[in-house]
Amino acid sequence: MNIIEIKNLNFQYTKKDVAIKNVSLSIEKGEFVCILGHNGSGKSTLAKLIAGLLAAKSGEIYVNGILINEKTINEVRHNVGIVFQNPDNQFVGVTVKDDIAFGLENRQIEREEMLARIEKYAQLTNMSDFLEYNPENLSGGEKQRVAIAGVLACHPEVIIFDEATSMLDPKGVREVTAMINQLKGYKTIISITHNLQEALFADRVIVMNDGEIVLNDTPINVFKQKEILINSKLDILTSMKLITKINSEKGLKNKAEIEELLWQLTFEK
Amino acid sequence: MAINFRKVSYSYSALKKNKKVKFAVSDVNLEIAEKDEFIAIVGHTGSGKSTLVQLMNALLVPSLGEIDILGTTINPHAKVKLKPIRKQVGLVFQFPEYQLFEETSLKDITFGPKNFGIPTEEAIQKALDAARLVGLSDDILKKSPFAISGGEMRKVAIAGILASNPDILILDEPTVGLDPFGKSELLKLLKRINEEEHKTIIIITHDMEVVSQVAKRVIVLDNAKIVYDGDMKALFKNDEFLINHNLDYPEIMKLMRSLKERLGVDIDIYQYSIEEAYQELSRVLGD
Repeated sequence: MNIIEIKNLNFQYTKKDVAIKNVSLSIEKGEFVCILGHNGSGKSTLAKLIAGLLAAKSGEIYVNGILINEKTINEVRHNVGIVFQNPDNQFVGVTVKDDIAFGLENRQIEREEMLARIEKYAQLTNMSDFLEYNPENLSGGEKQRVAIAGVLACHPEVIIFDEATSMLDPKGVREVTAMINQLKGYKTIISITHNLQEALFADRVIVMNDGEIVLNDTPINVFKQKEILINSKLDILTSMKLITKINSEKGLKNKAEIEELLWQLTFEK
Repeated sequence: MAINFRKVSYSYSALKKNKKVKFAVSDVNLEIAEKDEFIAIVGHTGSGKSTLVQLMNALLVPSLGEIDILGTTINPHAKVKLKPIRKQVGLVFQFPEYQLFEETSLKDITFGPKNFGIPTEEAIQKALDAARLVGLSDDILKKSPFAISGGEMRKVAIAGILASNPDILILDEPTVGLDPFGKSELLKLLKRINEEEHKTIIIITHDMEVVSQVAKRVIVLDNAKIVYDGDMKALFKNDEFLINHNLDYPEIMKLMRSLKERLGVDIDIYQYSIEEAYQELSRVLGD
């Protein structure tokens, strides 16, 4: 079943610049999809449209079978959670506990159920010991884990990570990436990222450029499209760079064998 | 030496007798040349990196010890003018684009030199020179700094510091949050300023790709102390040190290590670029 179905979607912020151009896309329930694209390629705009934070100019978005419109917007927002880039910009509570509770209060969840969920998701994100802390005193990775707990507690079908690791130090990146991988298979995950290493382990990778989807395939098939990636102002994998170098020179004997091995090594871990 | 730290410690709380304080930077000795250095400062969050660079341009004054910065000596008691030092050692903060505020990008860049007392017309000329150096088009200079891309905003912020023509340029995590294209453009720019203008550049970064691509020297901080200060290439050959301090290898080195294990051949895995890695592979696996 497709949890997200997008048909001929268009969006523009101003009359001149078109942010999303005629995008159609299906995402299956439980899929882990990475969206890559340079700054300004439209990937965050697409995420906000799916989450119902922006309204489409034309076209249709279905979340869990429901078409997003003015009447259904609240229902859709309950089904889609977002974890944003800047860990400092998403706190409202004075304690971690209050913060996780915030989304639940908005949904008028009963107190007992609320406390149970806070406990459950604090535990799942390894934040149980921090419930009484002020979020300001946490590290970047811990802050993002609190944000994830808050989103999970609302039981959305879809979770969007909008460059959720890009402002963290390496330890924070590892913590949050591990968290995302832990959710793989349980929730539908859309991860918007610049981190190619993260995209390696997605079910599917989508590349956006100038508001359009230019690639939509398995990670290995996407990462082999060197020209399209470079034209989309994206980086290519280190192994791909080395393969390109090997193929452009005459120095090596078993080129094909080494190329095959380099691909294998890239997807091993 | 342009910058010379002698037994420098810094604490964010006042020192008191018989009371233990936590030092953000502790007992640091450090020498930095005025020209041609490219230094990366690495270490975990809270290790003291940002404090260290703020001492380098006199935004902070040491709690203990002494620092010479381009001929001026700063210690806890010395009464010296600090503003000229901040012009000579330019510091670009993390996410500098959050500090843009003027109507146009050009006005924003001009603010830097004007703030250091340079007359308006001269300041505009310096701003235009700096804009050209970082590769900002006239079109962007006319636009509001809030109507341009993240990578361009960061270039505007860096141009604002360069327009004051600092002798030494320090950048706190300059590539964070940029897309791969913006990141590689920025690194090329810093390399060019270092190679052509011979300015010493110091960057704070967590990214070992950045370190291996641009740095000649690396300073590793751990728990307020300098635990490594030396050659970039030598750092990545020190496996035990990297593991002990939870530091990563550049991707190309990881790849070479895996190739060596899988192929069972004796290749030198310590390569720092695709070109070097290829040369080594063809040396061992070629005809």
